[in-house]
Formats: sequence, structure tokens, C-alpha cells
Amino acid sequence: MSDPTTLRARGLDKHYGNLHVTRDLDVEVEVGRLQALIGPNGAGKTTALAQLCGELPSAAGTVHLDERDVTAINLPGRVRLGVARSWQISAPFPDFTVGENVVLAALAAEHRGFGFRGLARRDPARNDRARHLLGEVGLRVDPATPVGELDHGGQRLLELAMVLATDPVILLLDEPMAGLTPGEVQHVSDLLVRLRADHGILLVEHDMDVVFALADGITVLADGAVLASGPPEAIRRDEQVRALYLQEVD
Amino acid sequence: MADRDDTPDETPETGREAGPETAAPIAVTSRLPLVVTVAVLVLVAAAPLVADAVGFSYLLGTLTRAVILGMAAVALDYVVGYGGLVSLGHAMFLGTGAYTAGILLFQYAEGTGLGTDQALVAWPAAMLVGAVLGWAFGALALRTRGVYFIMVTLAFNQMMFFLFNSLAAYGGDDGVRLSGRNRLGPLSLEDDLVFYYVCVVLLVVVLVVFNRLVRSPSGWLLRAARDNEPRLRSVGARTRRHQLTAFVLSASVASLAGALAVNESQFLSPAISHWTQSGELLVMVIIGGVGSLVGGVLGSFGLLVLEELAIEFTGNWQFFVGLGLIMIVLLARRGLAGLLLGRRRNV
Repeated sequence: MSDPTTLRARGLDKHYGNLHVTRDLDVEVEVGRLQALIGPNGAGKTTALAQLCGELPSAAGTVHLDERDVTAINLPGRVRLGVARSWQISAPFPDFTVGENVVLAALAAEHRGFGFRGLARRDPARNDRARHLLGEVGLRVDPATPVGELDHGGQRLLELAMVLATDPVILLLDEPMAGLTPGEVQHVSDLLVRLRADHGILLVEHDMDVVFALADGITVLADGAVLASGPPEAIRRDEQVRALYLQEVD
Repeated sequence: MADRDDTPDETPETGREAGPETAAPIAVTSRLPLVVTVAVLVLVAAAPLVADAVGFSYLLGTLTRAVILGMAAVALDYVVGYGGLVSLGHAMFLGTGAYTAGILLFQYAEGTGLGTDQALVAWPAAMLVGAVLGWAFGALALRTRGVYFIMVTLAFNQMMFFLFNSLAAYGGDDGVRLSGRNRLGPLSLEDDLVFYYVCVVLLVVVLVVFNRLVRSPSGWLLRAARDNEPRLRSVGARTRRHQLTAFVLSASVASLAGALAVNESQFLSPAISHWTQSGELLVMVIIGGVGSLVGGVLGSFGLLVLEELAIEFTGNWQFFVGLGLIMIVLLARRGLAGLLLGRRRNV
């Protein structure tokens, strides 16, 4: 099967009791494009990501990967089809080193069968790739460093390396820049631009400078629904968006 | 990953804690050094000889039980220590193995043609039945986690206990005496010392297998799922599959231990599958050191020897065993194995 090129969600709905978190949400992520998903806190951005990647079931709506309906496919299944999401809160595995965490993510995504054969640590190709990915995201530490010794920024970068280790085509990134130093933000921005060439990226981000610098398209969420969606210039001029969201940030 | 010479030239930018431990190849995932496991096994192998030399040869039965229950504790540690799945039902697999091998022996003695006294048939049969039950119960129990998992495995344990109790043909709750042990080629298992060393050899095989499993991809994913299952699923791991296979393997080895136990006592009784036996296996894992494998052996020897000594000197032995357990848990956070290893390096 060739790699998919488009993740398309139509009419996603999710509620917890009376709390309507996402309503009738349409999102599209396409290889070669970086779509930003913005909105005030509580707008439903993280929930939308969870529905897209299969972590949360949707009350209504469909998710398609190209022509294939993946609505019923669970989280590990969608990862194997090439959809991966990063978490807003870094949570590397504490019992493993930095390098081993990346190896773990690769193992998790690639593994078929029972996984009894071989030793997890002894695959040179996988280990080289883990080292390469750590370099890609700009995490310049010894791969043998215990994850507990990484600072916050380091953990964010490791999170990104782990997502990339699953060999995704569609990347759903939940505030990958939060808490990074300006230098690291610049590095990750450059990385996202490079990744865009052969990945589709959905970026949840609060930093408007980053969003307007990188995004090919922007979707604005408010109260779980799409308030506006379009190219950055149009969003920048949109009266509703300015009123509801941008001004409070400026 | 992470051999010392293939680390990149960049210095760690998180230099705060950069002591010698950071430079060690894989500091955090340090398993118990092999030397500790080997030392424990040498002690186990020498124990009957030492006991004999100092006039405690009557302890051989106790030592054999310690080896057998140690094997079950190692199997339980794989699920509890590496999988984070606390099973309070492993005695049912002891019972499963005991009843599989015991019924075959009993039927063989009756001459019904439905039994066998061959260890090479009965013991694998015990492991197979244990694996099938482990798969059935594990698949159901793994729909839950945490304290619910404990309760579900306990419930299954009680189901099996009452099933064994109801087998009137095999003495019901009284159990039934068997007329001998299994036969294993030219070895005379009726000789207690030979039987002891057969158990030790099987224990070594079990330790080698689980040590290997811990380092396999499945073992890594099992450990990672213990720490953060949703996170591991989000990078594509089918965590339930790895947890279930771990549970099945563990159940199968516990059943083998059960088959050995019924050989040791030559008495088939449901008592072996009582839930308190499940608790005792857990205690062994905890005092031996959770997540160390060989700790299960240390724990079973520690507990059984402690009991034996306490009974020797006082009528209130359970009080002193309890006191000893509290001391071990308080003073040795990673159990007896942790004491041998020294302080855990990653906190």
C-alpha cells in the first residue's frame, strides 16, 4: 500500500455529558501542507487531535485517510497507517535512556507478531536511526542520558523525535514549541519546514508569530466549532477572529 | 544503543548531574548484574549440601519447596514487576499444574489407561493447560487495570479453588495421596536429592528464558506500558497483546511449578491453589525485589527459611515472620535483590 497523502475529518463531534467539546468539526491535513489549529484555551484543540488520531472515539463524524474510512480504527492501528500525534505534556518512559526512548517508539510502531525474537537494543539500523532523529530534532545530548536528566525543552524535543520514530506521514503536533528557548523554537520551525515536504502537518500552537510564519492554512476553533478557516492572510483580516481571539493575545 | 564509543561528540547540555553514572553505557536500564543471579543459583545449588553438613538434612523438603515456589515467584515477577499487573491469582496456576500432573499420576496408578507417570508428558501438559487457562483468564482480566485487575484475578483464583475442591474423585477438599513421583528417563526422582537438582535445573532454564524476554522487544514494550500505557499506544504499540502473552507465559511456568510441587509432596490437595498462596507468592516477589526476576528465588528462600527458623524457636512464629517482612520492606526498598545491587541509580 502506498503512503497516504490526506487525512480528512468530517463532522467530528464529542461531548462529555452536557459539555460539548467539539462540534461538527471539519479538518484536513495534506502532505506538503502545514495546517495550524488555533483557538483560545478550552476551544477543543487537544480533543480534536485525540479524535483525529483515534485516541478518543467520536460521537459523530468520520475520519478518512485518502479514500479509506479509518473512523473505526484505534490508536495503534492509525499509527501503523502513518498518523502520529505528539503530546502536549511530555511523558518519556522514565525507565529508559533518551536513545532507548526513541528506539521504543520505533519498536512500538513497527512491531508485528509477538516480539520475542532478538534483543531490543541490538539492532544497529534502528539505533542509528534513533541517533539520527535525535540530531534532527536538535537534541544534543548523549543518547545514554537518563530521561530524568533532560530539562523541559529537552523532553519536548525528545517527544518530537519519538513521534518521528514511528515513521509517520501525517503529523499531529500538540504545542511542540511550548517551553522551548528561542533557539530551539527556531530549530524546530526549520525542522517543520523540512518535514512539510513529505509530511502533512497539523500544528496546534499558541505562539502566533510561529503560526503565521509557518502555516499554509489556519483553522480557528472557538467553543469546539470551526470559527474560520483559510489562508493566513484571510485569517489575519477576519473580523470575527480578531474580535474573539487575536486581540486578547496581542 | 549507547555504547560508550558511539555516543556523539556533543557534551550533554544538561550537565547538572553529569557524574560517572551518566557516562555509563545504559545507566538507567541496569538490570541486576549477571553475577548476582549466578551467585544466588550457586547458593541454591549448594544449599542441600550445606544443610546436610551442619546436620539440618531434614530441611531438604523445605529447600525443594523454596526452589519450586521461587520458580513461580520469578514467573509472577515478570507480570508484576515488568508488566505492572498485580495478579492475586497465580496460585490457581499452581493448582492447575498440580492437578494436571497429579490426576495423570493418579489415573496411571489406577491403571485406567488415561494417566501417565512420564514427566516429559505430564509436565509439558501442565504447562499447556496453564497457558490455555492463562490465556482465557488473562484476556478477561486485562480488560481492567490496577486494583480491579487484582480483584478479578483473585475472583478467578477462588473459582478455580472451589473447582478443585469439588473434584470428589480426587479427595475433594481433603485431597488425595499419590503413590509416587513422575519418572524422568534414567533419573530417579524418588531420590529427594536428585529431585531437588532437577528442580534447580528447571529454575535455571526459567531464569534464562525470562532474562531474555525482558530484553526482547516484547519485554521492552511490556515495561514501557507499565509506566505509561496510553503514551505507548500513541506510538503504535498494541500493549494488550504484550501484556497477555506475558500473562500466558507466566501462568504456564507457574503451572510447571505446580506440577513439581505435587511431585515434591506426593499429595494432591486444593490447598496449593488457595488465594493466600497467591498472596504468599506476591510477598516473595516483594521481599525478593520487584522487577529483578532472581528476587523471586531470594524471596521464596527468605520466606520459607524464615518460617522454618521461627517455628523452631517460637510458637508465635507468624508474628516474627510478619515483623521480618516489615523490616525488609522498610529497610530494603528494592527487596533482597536490591540490597545486593546497592542503591538504585535512577531516581
